[in-house]
Amino acid sequence: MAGFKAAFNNETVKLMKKKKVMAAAILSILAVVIGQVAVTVIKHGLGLRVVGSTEFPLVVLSMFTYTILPLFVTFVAIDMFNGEYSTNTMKLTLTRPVSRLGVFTAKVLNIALFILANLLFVMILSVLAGLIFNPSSAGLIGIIKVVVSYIATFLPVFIFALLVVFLSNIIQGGLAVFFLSILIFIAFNFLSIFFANYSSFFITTMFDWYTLWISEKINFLKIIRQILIMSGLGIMLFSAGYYLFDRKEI
Amino acid sequence: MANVAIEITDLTKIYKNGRGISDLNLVIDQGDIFGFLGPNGAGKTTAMKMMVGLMKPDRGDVKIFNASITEDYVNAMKDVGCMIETAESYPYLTAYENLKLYARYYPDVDQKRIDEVLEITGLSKYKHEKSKKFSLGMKQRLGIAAAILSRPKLLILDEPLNGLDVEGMLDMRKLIKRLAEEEGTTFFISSHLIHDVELTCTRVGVVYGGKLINVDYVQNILANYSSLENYFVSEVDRNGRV
Repeated sequence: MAGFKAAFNNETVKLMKKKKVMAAAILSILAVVIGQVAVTVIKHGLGLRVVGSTEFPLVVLSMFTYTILPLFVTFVAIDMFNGEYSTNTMKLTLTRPVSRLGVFTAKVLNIALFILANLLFVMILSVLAGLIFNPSSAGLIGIIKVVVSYIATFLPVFIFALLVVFLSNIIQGGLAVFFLSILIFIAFNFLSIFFANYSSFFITTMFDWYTLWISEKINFLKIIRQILIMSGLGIMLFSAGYYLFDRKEI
Repeated sequence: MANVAIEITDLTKIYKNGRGISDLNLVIDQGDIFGFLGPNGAGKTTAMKMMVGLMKPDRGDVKIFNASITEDYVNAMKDVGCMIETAESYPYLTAYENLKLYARYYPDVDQKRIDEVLEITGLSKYKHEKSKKFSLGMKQRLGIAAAILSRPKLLILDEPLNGLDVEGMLDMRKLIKRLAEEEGTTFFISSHLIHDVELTCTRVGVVYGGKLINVDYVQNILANYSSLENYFVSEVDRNGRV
């Protein structure tokens, strides 16, 4: 794909230069700090042991994946598409010797990079916080479980990001895409309660699928099934998003 | 026979409101400075957007140095620099950072070339300033810098003089002439400033109501009309507008 590397590097530079990345980093730090303070206060004030050192990162992850992470992923995805359409800067990239597939893939991969970096950042912070405040309960197995959980969380969040990308190529206004994404997020969580049999298809309910990876008895068949469902959704959303992006008139 | 830079065949795009451009056929030779003239809403920008792939035509094709814009986009655009509709830049990046982004698409463009185009467009002093603080004229200069950065063989410029002061216009005119003479760059320029087109372009095409109504060399036009403005008015008049 000619020009892809340049497009990819440029998207990374643009992403890094925006305040959203910094805001995401600060909020991530705050989430870990507040979580740790709460755990410590409960432990010393009430004498209850809430979590051990390697359980703390998992508590943070369960909060983080349903709040800050999807929020900022939505922001970043909207910014990359609707943001550039509305400021008329999309043409700056599209009139260079690079195919639209190259540009679309570069943008999507940068969103993936953002998700992964954000997850790894929170993982390192929360592991360090857990080790500092609860050194006695640390263990290698626990650390491996944390790493597996954070990496596994990447997939459903990325698929959700592809959904936002798809929406941002259908709807003109970034604000409308943002609210629609939130509505879908809430609706999916509700629908999964009423239609429990189909919950795998409501991608936001898969944000906690890391629990499948770290349970005492790992159900490989279920994991493979979920991977296939998510991959299928991902391929469909990527293709539909690209189809719209390719036909977009600037 | 001169080499062909742009070959436009039956290019058509009609919007829902009935405006647009239809059956545009045009051949631009290498080395031409082609002026694309027409009143507001005549279809100039639509045609230019299709030429650089920002819009897909309803039918027809554009070939740039023999590569089709609809079928072989990357090859068609590798020697093209353009500025369409408005001169945009990433407001949160400095002038230098903006150009650095575009430079990544061209292996021959290095830091020296970025400094060179900043110098040519008079932006050296502001290279480390974010473009959101730029005036309209400075943004226009940055747009031109971005267009000429890769030493393209073809420059497609939509209203390149918009927002420029007198000095800027003179500089721009000189730059176009210099690039055409020294580097053999072909230009496709749309402008509503007829006097400027007369002083800069070697050939003009008049588009009116979505159709190309005439194409001629400026030299021939001036042999029959006192100015390009008179020619333009008479052509538009002939096609149904006072």
